[in-house]
Amino acid sequence: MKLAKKIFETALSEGRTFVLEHEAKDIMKEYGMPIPAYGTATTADDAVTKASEIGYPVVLKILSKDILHKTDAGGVKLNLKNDDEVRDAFEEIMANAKRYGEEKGIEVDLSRGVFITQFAEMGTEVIIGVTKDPQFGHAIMFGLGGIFVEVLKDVTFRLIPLEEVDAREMVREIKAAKILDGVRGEDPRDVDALVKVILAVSKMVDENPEINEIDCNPTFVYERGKGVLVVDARILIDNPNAKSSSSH
Amino acid sequence: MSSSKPDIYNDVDPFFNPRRVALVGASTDYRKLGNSILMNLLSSEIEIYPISKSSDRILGTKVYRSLSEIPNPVDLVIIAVSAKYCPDLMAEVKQAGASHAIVISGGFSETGPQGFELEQKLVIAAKKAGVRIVGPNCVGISNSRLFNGTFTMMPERGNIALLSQSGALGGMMIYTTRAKRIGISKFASIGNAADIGFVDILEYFRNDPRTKVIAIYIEGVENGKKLFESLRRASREKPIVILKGGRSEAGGRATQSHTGSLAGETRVFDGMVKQAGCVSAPTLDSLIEICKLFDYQPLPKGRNIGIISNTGGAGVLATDAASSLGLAIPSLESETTRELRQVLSPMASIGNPIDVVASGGRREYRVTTELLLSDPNVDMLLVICAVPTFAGMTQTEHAAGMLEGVRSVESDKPVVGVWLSGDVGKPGKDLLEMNRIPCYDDPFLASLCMSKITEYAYLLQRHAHS
Repeated sequence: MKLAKKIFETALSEGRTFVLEHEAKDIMKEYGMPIPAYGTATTADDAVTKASEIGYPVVLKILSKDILHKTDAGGVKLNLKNDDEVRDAFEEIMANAKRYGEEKGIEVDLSRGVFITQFAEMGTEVIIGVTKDPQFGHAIMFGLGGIFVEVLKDVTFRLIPLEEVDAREMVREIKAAKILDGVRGEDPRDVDALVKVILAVSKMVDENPEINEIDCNPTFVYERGKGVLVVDARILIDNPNAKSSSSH
Repeated sequence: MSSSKPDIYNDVDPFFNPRRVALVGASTDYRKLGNSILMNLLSSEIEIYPISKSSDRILGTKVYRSLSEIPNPVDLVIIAVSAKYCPDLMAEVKQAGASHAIVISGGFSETGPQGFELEQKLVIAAKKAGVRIVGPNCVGISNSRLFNGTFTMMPERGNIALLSQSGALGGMMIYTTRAKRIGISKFASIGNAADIGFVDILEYFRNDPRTKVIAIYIEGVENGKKLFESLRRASREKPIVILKGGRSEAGGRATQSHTGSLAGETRVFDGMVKQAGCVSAPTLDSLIEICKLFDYQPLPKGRNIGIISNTGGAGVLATDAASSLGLAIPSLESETTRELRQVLSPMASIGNPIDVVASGGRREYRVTTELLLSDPNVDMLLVICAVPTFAGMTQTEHAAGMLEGVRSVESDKPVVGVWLSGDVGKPGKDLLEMNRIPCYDDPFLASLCMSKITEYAYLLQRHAHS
């Protein structure tokens, strides 16, 4: 895909091996992945306009080539309900980012402003990721989010590209698979939509092998018929100039 | 060797089907590998030319001073001399008529940088001479229908091909298959795989008409994508059972220092195995037992297992194991239970799992086997017997009854036995195994093997639809 190549080129020209969140989501949208409505803004006024277009509540996140871990830099504000909250959040994020830069002794580029997105309704949290295995190349990972992935390591892998049957098996074979059938009176989750996202990630990586790692974490799965939303997305790419590019 | 076979088949075939074999490093010293290999070769159905500088006759056979002295062209040379002599031998191998050599000798990349250099030299020399090599640092190759080009035992004839990355472990597995009387079609230990690698042998086994099942012991992989593609291709034609070594972190480290190969990330590997349509074996013993079941019995059409026992306890254990491994314990047709009620003791339990109770003998085993195999709710059958040493029963009557039941139904459902009671159960167990009904000592292993062939049947069907 041309868009992805262009984005990767820009990133590398800025010395980044990660792409910015709106860029990651632009690429994912091209591959048909469901993303909550989003935009970018470089001023507080601009942020308010975008937020009302998207519809409240919204989330604001710092957009800077110098910040990969946004939360650490105080660069994320969740569940903003009106214009005033957005305006305040914008100013606060800018101030935090500046201070973060001072503490680290770097000049943080603030020219891109912020990323604004719809504050997605909570769904069943899953993670879809991509890693590059030294022997097998790109492998896609699926698991339930939170404690399931962090403590229990209840995840499963397949090599990329994979077929629909493989994606369905991944979803079925994790130990916590029953949660997707619906527990405690919940309706079954939208596994068909989830499988489509897994296949879209596979296709995206297959067509853009310079991708090194992906995290779609969290991805929310809603009840059957209501789809999936990739809420946070991260794409890391190879640095063709470095022998071994660090991924974090 | 038909022309429709891919090139790699013809490249590899002379390793398994040579007509004349030379052994460089033949020895009179029974403590040397060159002696064991010669002994194995001499009991093979092919012409053998031992090469040694120190003796004129070894094991009663004429010895040649060098490869150039052999009167007839050979098509395979086995080499068991010090590593340092190996590179220079490659040109002589070619001059002796062979384009194939098995380098048994160790002392190459597995030992460090110097050995690595020597291995590079060997590869370059072989390439220059136009010789393909298996090894170095390997146990060798055997074809149970033709010759034994290893220093380990010749396996019994059969249908399971064995491919091992670890030489010694692969060699030991042959002893195990002999003890269990499981037949092997071909055995290959690839050692450092400096030239012929895992995938080459796998492709060969895929095309080998004598091989029905492929058993693999693997530690690390160099070209994972190629391995995956090859496994996926082969698994559509025959079942492949894989045991992966180097899973734990400690195990992983052991791998690095073992064959000098890389160990893949365990989870990625496991996903790859499923994606490739292969099944994994958790243990060395189960690797062989799963292969045996694939070899002896048909694939199930579904995952419903019928269980027969003469002890309630073992029936419960089998039920627990089967359901924990993803098999289902179905209810039987009312017609089946009605007939069972008529035949079995009033004390018997006629729901699945069926308990024919201790008084159940030949007749009960025959009829119950027949009825369960005829029941459409049953896709596979597990028959357990704790052979009684009382009430005048013979040691083999339960097995005989089961066998009669299997024969009279002529179903295409897989059947296995679990014969308890140690030596008392042995004759019955042997009777079943001789009739190609795998018979285990433990309900868990039996259930595990059944669950694996069920998984493969599912994967195969999945391929057919995708």
